[in-house]
Amino acid sequence: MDAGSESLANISVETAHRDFEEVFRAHYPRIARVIARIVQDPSRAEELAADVFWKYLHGRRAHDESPGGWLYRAAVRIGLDELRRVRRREKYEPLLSWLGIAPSPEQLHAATQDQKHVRAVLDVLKRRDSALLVLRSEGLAYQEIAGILRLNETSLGTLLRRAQEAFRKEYVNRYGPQTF
Amino acid sequence: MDHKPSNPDTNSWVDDRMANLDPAPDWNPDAARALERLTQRQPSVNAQWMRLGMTTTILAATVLVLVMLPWRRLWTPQASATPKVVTTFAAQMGTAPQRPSLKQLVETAPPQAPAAPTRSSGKVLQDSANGDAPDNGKEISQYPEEIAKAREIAESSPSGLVAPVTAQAAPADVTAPLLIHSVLPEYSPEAKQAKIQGTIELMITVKVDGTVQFENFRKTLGYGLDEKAREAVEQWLFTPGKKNGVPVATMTTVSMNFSLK
Repeated sequence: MDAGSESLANISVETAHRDFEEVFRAHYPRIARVIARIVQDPSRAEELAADVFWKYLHGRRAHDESPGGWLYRAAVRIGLDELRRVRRREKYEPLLSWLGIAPSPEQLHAATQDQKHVRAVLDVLKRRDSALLVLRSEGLAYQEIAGILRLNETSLGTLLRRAQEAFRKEYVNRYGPQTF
Repeated sequence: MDHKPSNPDTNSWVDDRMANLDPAPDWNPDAARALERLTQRQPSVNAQWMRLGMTTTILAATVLVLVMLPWRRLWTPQASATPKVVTTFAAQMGTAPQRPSLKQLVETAPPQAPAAPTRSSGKVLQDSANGDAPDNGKEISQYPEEIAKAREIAESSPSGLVAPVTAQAAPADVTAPLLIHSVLPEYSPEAKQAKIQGTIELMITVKVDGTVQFENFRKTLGYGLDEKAREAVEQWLFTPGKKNGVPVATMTTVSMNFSLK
């Protein structure tokens, strides 16, 4: 590699990093907020958001589409995975406390009863339904949600209503009809 | 599939529930700090490569263990006694000229009682010379020709006594001959040079006076080892087998294990 091509490579790498920084600064706060909706602990949400960008930086398939779509989709997925992991951990919480193992930061961070109920329902819904509800509650437009989840925009309203209905049924089923 | 019209109550109710998840208003993720941490993060080893490495290691360890297992011992029940014989011989190598270790198996000729297994009547003796462990007794009833021959020998003996081999005789009637003096065979130079190892089996008759009459070979090795084994066994002395307290001629099988280490 001669000096010319080396400098070109350096320029290319610098450009990629500058692009990544732009993407990061543009999307990180909102990505962190989306994840924070799903998981309980804000600091954990920030860590997971950083993980999302790390995967974006090192993943080949991440760059085949617009960064926003990939990042939000990855954020919802990683958030739901974390939610599932936390709930699985909570199942064994009595055993862990009996063994003297310290509670996790998620457990230390208190959540209201309503938040716990909503997260429990999100955990058992279909992945797509949970993602729809989370992204919608974040205030994203139908067009954005359709792009992120790779869905047809015209059918998004129907899918969203079905997701809401599934949420309601599961919530009432778990916590009684008086909650509705 | 029925498509129900949208229920505004449901929509608002779900929105209200989901609004519970709104992050605290005063919480603002610090992008600059997160970016700084991210740029300092070192790429970790790919989890897939780690899994692959662990799987390969486990497989290699399993293969190693399988290769090192003594399969021949596991598959050959008779081979279980071999190491002891080998060890015994190795101890003899330092003190004596090339002499093989000896493993004897002495069996009495039991009656051919089909309902009663003859193993109970066979007696395995320990070598008085080197203390080898006894081997499993072999069923002499499996060799009807040898039994017939034993009967002929016994009939031709001066005392006229013979070990009963009829089905009517109880196995407990005949006691096994006991080895009281043995001579170990030597390794022939040809067998030693050719590194021949293995077992020779000889059929012998223990006469009423306790001396041995060689009958035939049931298993040979060649290279002069058969002759050495025969020379040795013909010098052995037994306390003869007895029937109802009376000495009788009995046919036995002797196994000699020749091993070079």
